[in-house]
Amino acid sequence: MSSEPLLRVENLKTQFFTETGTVRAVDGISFEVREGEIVGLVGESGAGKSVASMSLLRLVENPGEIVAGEITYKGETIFGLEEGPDGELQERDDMLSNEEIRTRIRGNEIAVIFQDPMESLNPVFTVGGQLREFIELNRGLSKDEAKTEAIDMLREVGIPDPEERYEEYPHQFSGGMRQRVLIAMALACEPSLIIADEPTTALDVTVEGQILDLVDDLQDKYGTSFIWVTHDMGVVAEICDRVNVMYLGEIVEQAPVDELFYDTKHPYTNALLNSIPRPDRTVTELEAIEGVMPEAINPPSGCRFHPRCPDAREVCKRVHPEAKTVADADGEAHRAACVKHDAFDAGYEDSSMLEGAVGSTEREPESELAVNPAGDDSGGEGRE
Amino acid sequence: MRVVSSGIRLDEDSGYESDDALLELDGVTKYFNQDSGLLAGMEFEPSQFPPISVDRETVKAVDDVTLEIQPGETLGLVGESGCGKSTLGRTILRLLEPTEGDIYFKGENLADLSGERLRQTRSDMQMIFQDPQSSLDPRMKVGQIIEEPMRAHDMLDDEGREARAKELLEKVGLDPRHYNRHPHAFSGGQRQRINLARALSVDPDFVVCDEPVSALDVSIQAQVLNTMEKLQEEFGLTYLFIAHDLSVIRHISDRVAVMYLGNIVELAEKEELFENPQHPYTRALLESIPVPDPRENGARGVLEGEVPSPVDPPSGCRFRTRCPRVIAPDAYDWRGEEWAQTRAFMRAVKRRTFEPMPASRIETEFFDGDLPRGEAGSTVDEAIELIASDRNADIDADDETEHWSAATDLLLESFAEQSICARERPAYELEAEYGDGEHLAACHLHR
Ligand code: SF4
Ligand code: SF4
Repeated sequence: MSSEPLLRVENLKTQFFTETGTVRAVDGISFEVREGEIVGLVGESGAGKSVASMSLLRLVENPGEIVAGEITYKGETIFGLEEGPDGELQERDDMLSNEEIRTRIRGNEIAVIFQDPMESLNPVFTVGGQLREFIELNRGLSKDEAKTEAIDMLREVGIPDPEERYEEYPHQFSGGMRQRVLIAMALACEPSLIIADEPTTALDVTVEGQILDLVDDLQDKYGTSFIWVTHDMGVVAEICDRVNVMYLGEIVEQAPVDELFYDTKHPYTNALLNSIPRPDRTVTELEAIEGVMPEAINPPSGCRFHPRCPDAREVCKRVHPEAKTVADADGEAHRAACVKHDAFDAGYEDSSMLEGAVGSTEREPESELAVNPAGDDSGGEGRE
Repeated sequence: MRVVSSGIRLDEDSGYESDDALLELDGVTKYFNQDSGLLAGMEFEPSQFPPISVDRETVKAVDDVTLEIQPGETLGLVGESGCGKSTLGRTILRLLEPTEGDIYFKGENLADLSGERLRQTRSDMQMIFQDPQSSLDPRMKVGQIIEEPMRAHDMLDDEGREARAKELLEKVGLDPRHYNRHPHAFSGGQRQRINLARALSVDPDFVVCDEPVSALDVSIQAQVLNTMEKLQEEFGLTYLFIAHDLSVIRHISDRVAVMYLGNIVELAEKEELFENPQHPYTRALLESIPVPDPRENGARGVLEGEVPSPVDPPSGCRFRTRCPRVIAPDAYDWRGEEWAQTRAFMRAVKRRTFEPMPASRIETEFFDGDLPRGEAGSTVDEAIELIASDRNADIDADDETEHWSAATDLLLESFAEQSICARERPAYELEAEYGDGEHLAACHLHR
């Protein structure tokens, strides 16, 4: 029906090989990004959303490794494996080389904006100098042309007095201003896709509002697609067109933003929405989700959410649900990984309630312990 | 309305049986002196040795804050980073000495207390911090951590302290059998529970909670917030809940104070503040929060510019440099859109948000081709002459910068600084629409 998406991710798996075992940080996720849309990748710490987004540019660092799946961007293979003559998996011939990724894709085609701009800016060079050099190198402009372009970009992303600020160092910029500089840098080569990893999380709410507005404007103007990685359902509602909700390395729900909020199909998404205090109305009782997310090193059997799921039944411990289309959202598939839905035909209705299931009874905070006795929720990912 | 104390209270009499405020701040001010840090602040002074002096600047972190906290309530204190909310929290607990002003706890001026009374009061006021990680000593066991404040205040004997620590562990939702574990074995949410137990060990009446859940994941946030509410009821606690997250504030608070650049700009009961905000800053804050509802696409109401430095805050209303509604200076005769246009032009020049362009284009872009009449108009015209590209064709970059700042100064002096917003510090008491509590708004729109 629709033409080839800008980016297609199929069954992507990224693992970290640590002393204590293999951390399945991203465990078989599939999604796509079409031209001009903002796609959300949502989840709590340890869900794997940052690792997933870094995998798209093959930026995963040791001991992490992409072990399976296929990433296609504008018809080119960013990652892909095939079975070799010895039966082992090997990289496909058409997979882009590291060199090609670095020179052609990163920055030029797909740019990244991180949560902490200080990580991406060099503290000993002026902001303008860094931006100018970036433009010079990537767009083949002369020094002077690049400088003019850099000042224009700074103004475009709302840096006041750009001629003056061009000469300043990153520490002289506020957090919001630094994030604007990174947006300028990301846009400088007019990429088709920008991966934004919690870019507004560290910012104050009025500054966050300014940045979200800026992204709206720029997106209108340049038609850039975004993958927006966040834990904030408010931000998701505000800017995303379609959303992928991640839990423990998997995408558990995938839907257009309106359906995600108004026709929620996965109990985790639902629980998440019910647990957040609202700015727009007074909620007297917060429905906390029981327990904490377990580690990706040894995920629970069956549905990974079952130890915390209010709807869990016996079958959920046995059957591992892969996301399936469970509803039609205006011609768009609404997918969820939950055996409750008929599409799974797993006998949920007849399955017995789990012993000690949460049901709708009052949730005791004590249970945070039961799930994760060691209590170490730092996970093995390091990044989130 | 005091909640009945439970058996866990050490001293039933320590409750505050009065209708008066539990805590009262009167003009509390906290300034910090600091080196300006930049070479620019260094001066050569041959008359002294060493012949260099470093500029000391005064950071006006909290300025003239007056408010009351009633027994048993949760007062939410909300504001963006750098607004002074944490400093205020620490000053109340006397972790910082106030530069000026008085703090009364149960009717007594903290500055007048000494000896046993001071010790007693100190144990009555506790604090929990944002980062549960760093506020727990990793070498100590959970039990020791919880008992430490009791030991410091000479409460109970060893056995009594252990029993109380275990009981508290249970109260905050942890397993008393974890008494001998080290904090690293716990998740973020659990560590914040340990902090709660520790703060409660000395049976305080008042707890300052400084961003207690902002480091936690949303699903864990809800668990900890629920526990805090449960404990408040059980222990008859009064909270000062400091946070930047308006949703959390809306959930947990009874009344809310909004802080901006060292001042409280609005204070009202929760429902009143969120449903009937009367200060332009509060409104901007509320409009900026992304609402978790895709069908809610109201204007984001973005604020211009950034928070000014607390070293040199604006006169009068501190929000005036960013306020979308700064009041027109009376000295001029404004018609229709003239003031709104002049204000927008003034800010654009100040922030240099547009490229140099010919005078006629400036007039069209900012004033629809029609400059304000009278004196205001001549001033605007003068400013345009300074920056228009066709009037300054052959000046170099340095001169250009100078012209822009001359134009900025001219506009600010003639307009911004003539407004009542710059001349008087606002403070008004309003009629509440929701509930019957007091509603304070520091904005001259209510004059
Ligand atoms: S599969 Fe079972 S445990 Fe998993 S989300 Fe659905 S109902 Fe809950
Ligand atoms: S006093 Fe003036 S500047 Fe301050 S908030 Fe009110 S209108 Fe705005």
